[in-house]
Amino acid sequence: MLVESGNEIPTELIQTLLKMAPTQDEELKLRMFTGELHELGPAERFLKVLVDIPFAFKRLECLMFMHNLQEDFSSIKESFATLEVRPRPCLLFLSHVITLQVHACTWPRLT
Amino acid sequence: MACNDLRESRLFLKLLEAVLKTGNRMNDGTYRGGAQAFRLDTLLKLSDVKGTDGKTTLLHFVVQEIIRSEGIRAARTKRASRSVTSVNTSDDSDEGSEDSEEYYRSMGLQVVSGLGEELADVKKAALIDGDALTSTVSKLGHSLMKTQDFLDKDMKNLEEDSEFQGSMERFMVSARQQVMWMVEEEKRIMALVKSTADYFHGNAGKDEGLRLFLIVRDFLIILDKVCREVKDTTMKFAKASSSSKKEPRTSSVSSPEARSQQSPTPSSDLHRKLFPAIAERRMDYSSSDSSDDEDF
Repeated sequence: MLVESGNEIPTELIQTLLKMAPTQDEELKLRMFTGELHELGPAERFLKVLVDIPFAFKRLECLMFMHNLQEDFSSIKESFATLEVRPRPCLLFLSHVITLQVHACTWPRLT
Repeated sequence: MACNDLRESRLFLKLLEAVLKTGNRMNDGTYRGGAQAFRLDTLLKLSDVKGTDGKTTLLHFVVQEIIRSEGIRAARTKRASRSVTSVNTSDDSDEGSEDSEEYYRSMGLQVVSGLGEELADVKKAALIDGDALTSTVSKLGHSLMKTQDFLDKDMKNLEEDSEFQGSMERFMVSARQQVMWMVEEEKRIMALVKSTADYFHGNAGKDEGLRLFLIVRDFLIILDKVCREVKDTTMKFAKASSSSKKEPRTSSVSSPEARSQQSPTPSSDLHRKLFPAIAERRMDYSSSDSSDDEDF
């Protein structure tokens, strides 16, 4: 499993695989199964292989986190910037206007 | 930097100042005269208060006032900069038209109609879902801890020394930094938004959060509409009055402020009729004008 940025396996595939994750009960049964692989149906056969990889689904969750962090970080950064840099003048204005109102004195000095 | 931003949206401040002054005039005596009593929603109500003609709103009046003062200001700035750059040119020929009320008004209109653009980012901010932002940040923080836990326990015990493990360790270094930054920033920015919202909502204890931007956005939409209406009526007045008004001006080079006070515009006459109580105590911009000139 090649891992550099979490992009090597398509995100959709990771998501699909995670949805396939067996329950504890199912996982136990799959592990206990010692018969021939071809006796199982295709889905079970695939899961049996996955379950035999140690922490396969936890590893997939790591990849998912890698991907989500990259994506969310840039959009959150942008949202922060929008909330702060630009609207801030407007917010500051409103504050200054109110200050002006409260103290009924001169225009606030900006230094 | 904050100072730069402030200057950029000086107009918005101006507008609010006018709004507040007007609000005070309307509620003289009853207005509790403090921030605690003022709610930002008041901005939106400005367009509900109608004049005696049942059409012109208080916001029209406020916009009209600002157009007047901004126009004078813009003309003054332009004249000042030109007298520095080109002293001996023949610009004097159009001096007469530049001093006219129509000229001030059109200059003012230009400035005011730029307001919507100036604050376009408020609209963008209004679209941000604050709750979703907060929950995404905490979800990422949770995932980070879970991943770290997995690497420290399960993967360590496995002792496989795989490429997966190496890559994850490297990734976690930057992930920790990014998540930590986001958690801190989220706290800081939400606090900033909240403290400002508290200001306007009188610390009602209600977490208004980003609703602030929604109100400002709605206000800007109304404002944009009013500006266009004022522009249309101003143009009509200008056309009508330019043909009939031929009185010679008596004062030679009096200041623009003094001149505009001497000859009130047709539209301000109209507003005097529409909002008699306010017009009697005309908004005095000259004080704030001069002081913020020095400030910037």
